[in-house]
Amino acid sequence: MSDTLLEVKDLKKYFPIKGGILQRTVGHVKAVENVSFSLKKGETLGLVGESGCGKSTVGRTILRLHESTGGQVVFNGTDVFKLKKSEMQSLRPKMQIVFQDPYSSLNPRLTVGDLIGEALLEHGFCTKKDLKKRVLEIMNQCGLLSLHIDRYPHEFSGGQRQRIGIARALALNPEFIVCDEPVSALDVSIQSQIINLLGDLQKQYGFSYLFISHDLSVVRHISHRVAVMYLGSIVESADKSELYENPLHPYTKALLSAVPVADPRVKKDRVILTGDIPSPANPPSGCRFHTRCPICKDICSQQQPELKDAGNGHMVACHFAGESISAT
Amino acid sequence: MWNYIARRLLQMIPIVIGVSIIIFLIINLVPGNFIDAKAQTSHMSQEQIQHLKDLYGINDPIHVKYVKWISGAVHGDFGDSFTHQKPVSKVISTFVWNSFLIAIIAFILELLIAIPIGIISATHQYSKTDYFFTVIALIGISLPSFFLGLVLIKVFAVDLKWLPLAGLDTPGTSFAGIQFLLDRLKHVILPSLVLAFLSIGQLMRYTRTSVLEIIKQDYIRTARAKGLSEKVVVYKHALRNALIPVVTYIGISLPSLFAGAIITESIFGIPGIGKIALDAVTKRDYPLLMGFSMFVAVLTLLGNLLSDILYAVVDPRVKLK
Amino acid sequence: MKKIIKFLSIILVILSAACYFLPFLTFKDYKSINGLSLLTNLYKRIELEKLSQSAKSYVFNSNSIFLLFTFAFFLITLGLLVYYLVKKSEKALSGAVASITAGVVLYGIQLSNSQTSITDFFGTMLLATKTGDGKTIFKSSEIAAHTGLGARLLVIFSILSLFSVLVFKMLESAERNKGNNIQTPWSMAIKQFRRNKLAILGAVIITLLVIVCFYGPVFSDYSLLKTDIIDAKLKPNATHILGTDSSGRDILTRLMYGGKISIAVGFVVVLIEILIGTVVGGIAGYYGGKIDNILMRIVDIFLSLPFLPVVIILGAVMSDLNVSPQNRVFFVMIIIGVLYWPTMARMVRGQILSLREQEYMIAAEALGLKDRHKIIRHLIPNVIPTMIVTATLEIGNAILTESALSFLGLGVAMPYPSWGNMVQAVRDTNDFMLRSWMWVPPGLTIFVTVLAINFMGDGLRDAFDPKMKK
Repeated sequence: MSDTLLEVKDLKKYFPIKGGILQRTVGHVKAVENVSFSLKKGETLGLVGESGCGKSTVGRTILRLHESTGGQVVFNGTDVFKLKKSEMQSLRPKMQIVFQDPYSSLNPRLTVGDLIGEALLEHGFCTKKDLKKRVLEIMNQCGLLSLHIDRYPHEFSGGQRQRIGIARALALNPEFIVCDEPVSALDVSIQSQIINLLGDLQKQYGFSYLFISHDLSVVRHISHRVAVMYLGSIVESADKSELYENPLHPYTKALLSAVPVADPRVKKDRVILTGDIPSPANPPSGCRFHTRCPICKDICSQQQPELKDAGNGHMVACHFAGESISAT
Repeated sequence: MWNYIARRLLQMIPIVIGVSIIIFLIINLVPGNFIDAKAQTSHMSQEQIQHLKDLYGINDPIHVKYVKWISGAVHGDFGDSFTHQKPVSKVISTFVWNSFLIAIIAFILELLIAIPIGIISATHQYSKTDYFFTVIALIGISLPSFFLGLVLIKVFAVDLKWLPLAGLDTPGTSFAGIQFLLDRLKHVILPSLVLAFLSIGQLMRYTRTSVLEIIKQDYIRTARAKGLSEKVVVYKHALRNALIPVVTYIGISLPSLFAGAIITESIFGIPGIGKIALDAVTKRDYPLLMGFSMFVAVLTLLGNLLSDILYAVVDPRVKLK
Repeated sequence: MKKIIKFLSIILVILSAACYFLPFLTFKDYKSINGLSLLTNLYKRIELEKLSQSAKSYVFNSNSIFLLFTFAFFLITLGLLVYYLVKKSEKALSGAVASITAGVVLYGIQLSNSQTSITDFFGTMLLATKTGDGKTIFKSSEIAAHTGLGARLLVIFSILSLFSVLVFKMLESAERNKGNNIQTPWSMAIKQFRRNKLAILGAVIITLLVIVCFYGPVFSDYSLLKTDIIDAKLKPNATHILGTDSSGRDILTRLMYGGKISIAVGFVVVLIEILIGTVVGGIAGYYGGKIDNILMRIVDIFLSLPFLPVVIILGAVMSDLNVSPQNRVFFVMIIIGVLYWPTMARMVRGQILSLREQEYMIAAEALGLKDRHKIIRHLIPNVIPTMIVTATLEIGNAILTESALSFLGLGVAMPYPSWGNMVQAVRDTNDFMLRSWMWVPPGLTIFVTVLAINFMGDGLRDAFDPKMKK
């Protein structure tokens, strides 16, 4: 247990819905419902799911960019949610985030040097004299040229801006980085460059990543373990190879069957889910997936399945885990 | 929807009270009162002066005065105007229609001219026409209102003698029917023109900006790509959306049609509610001033509410919370 | 090209300094006083040399302290320019720009001294009379005087040298940055602004107006307040370019002074607006919640106040409280400022609300940056462009409001001129109909000024707005 860096227990995040004449809270959007997982040092946990399933919210809530509605996050033995504001600020360098949109996550009025260096100065990690040298070091590591240091974000392409974002997160020597769909906004050819950069940096510095994405093939490349989320809860999690070769939850199976294979001769059994994703303000009873599940039975609409170990640390939340779902 | 309206009306109440307190305080900053002023010109004994002062509650402490006023105001009784010797509400309701006449003519002119020009400017962005209209619009918002009025009077009434100098009717005449209308029109056209010209600039630019924003959207490009004629693209697809902000502008403007134009009415001698208010200031007619100020404040708030409601009615994306 | 400007700048600065050798004040029966004399006799009494036996004894008490600073700044500019020629130091050139600007501004302040008589620009004129028991007493007095060639030429040369040094600096920076091609957000905005011809026209007009109104009076032979019924209501002619008003005062001169007041009111009002509005809007936008609610309710109350009625009532209150004409200007500034700040507050709050949700603000939070750092380095630089646009347009509004107020007789009061109260001449129907020179020029100048400001504000808005780019 000593190399567990991050432990998330029963994390909840609800967003209030206001309505009525006096703007009272009439309901909640249950974005994150009882999410638990742990992360070791130097490990990458991939978190996948559809848009709107709450994966970005998980990342941000762990970093206390949203205040949680319940649950506990223990980072290196420290209970993150119990810290005071000033204590939290000194903890932040250790837990960083790379954002999805390279266009809105960089302040257009700061130079690259300022963007990367300002946190260094603020936290006192570096003196003013050494600042430029240190910033150039970080930039070079992320594949940015030295002459870029005085340029402004609008002069760069999406891929380069993402490198700037990564450099900014890197500067503070974090131990844990939330990668919130870092390549979703980039061209495919650039995606591989950025993924490889992240991988190289992890080998060099031993970062732990929470890699959030909706793209299963990307996640496969970079993760050690993968967790699948649906409507705010984790439905399956396992080591990478185990999950991709032996998925047990019907939702995981459907997702995997939709991943395109670059060989026109391979015929696939596509499992197509019916219906739309339900509203997180009003989740279905019992198993949240039951309204779209191809093997839904009566018990599924009455009782919510728990996340259980199906062997070798392969966790799944389904009453009928492992059953075949394709039409015979 | 009704929830929303009710909530907004509730929110208006503290604001209206706040406004009334501020104006009341300001008005009562002025030393002297109308009775002392009158006493200087007409002969009254000390007893009469004292009696009148008691009658009008002039020597009461300020919070008493306020309470007296507001308990009447809630029932629509704003007291009696000193100068007109009539209830304030009656004074306002008598004169407000003259202001309305000028304002509504100006408003119609404004809409008829500014909106088409705004659309043309937007569809021909950066052309000479656009440039020209932009300059005209900027001229409209840069002119001092009193100056424009004076210049127009000088040109049309003094030099060219086409139109009368001032007032609402030609003095010494009593027309009826068509002649009355024509005479009224002659008197009203210049002040309406002034009011219209001053607002055309703003509305034109506003229309232009919103049409421009819509035209650049992708769904307009799609409409063009489908092969629709430019006219259909603009008038059928773009306009419906671009006019949404314009509708909200109309919402805001409607109540202020009753608020009067202080300077323009004074210059043209139109006995509208604006001129009455200015006279009330010079004559220190407090009840009328308070009543008028509250009237205009409520109109402004109603205008905001109306424009928000219209916005929700016209724009399907907006849901009033 | 650059060489010409380089030498031109130096020559102009030398000429400016040389003006001090010329007379600054000339008199009818006395020898003139030159600039150096004013400087060397600061707060001492200069006795005027009589040119005829019968002339009375006058002494002049120079309080041209700003003139002294102006002179010093010219010398500093000269020194810095020479230093730049020798050592090519960029800082020296920037220093030269700063010091010549300081010099010109201080000269403008010196010239705003005058109220009643021509000599007032630079000091006080006193009549020396000997009393019965041999003592001399000094009484303030007026004598026939004009501003001298030196004072007038100084205006021309100093302003020309300011522009020359500025152009020099701009050429220099352009050359220095040729290789770099760095595009800061500000330089992109400036480029966009330059493309807008109307905006440039507006900027030029405003600059000319400010120069004429603040420095022009030095060229006029007429005083601000002295009335002369004989010369009343004269048509424009050779001596009075815009004619005279009903009390015989030169209209062009009063137009310049009025401009000083109207423009100053515009600026001060917007300054008040910015100070109060930014703080209130900023706090409300940043902290949100209950604070935001309370502050916005207050803003709403102010915005619901029927503006013109309240301003007019306050103007009447001022008259009743017998505020002196000199102090009225201050009160007018405060009144309009206090009524206008909610607009700025609303705008700043709106900007901050939308900026707060930008992802780079969340990124700043994730980096663990402190609140103060986030506000100063992230929020404020992104609020400033909109603030500049709003402030510029509000100056125009403030000038219009002040002129309307003064026109109604409730703002700046006679005998002090403001463009608005000069239009009051229309109260006399005959003047209105027959003597347009009395009321048309001030109205026209208000219009042109506000129009130029609106051209500029429009150009600024286009320059800063990313959405408007083609």
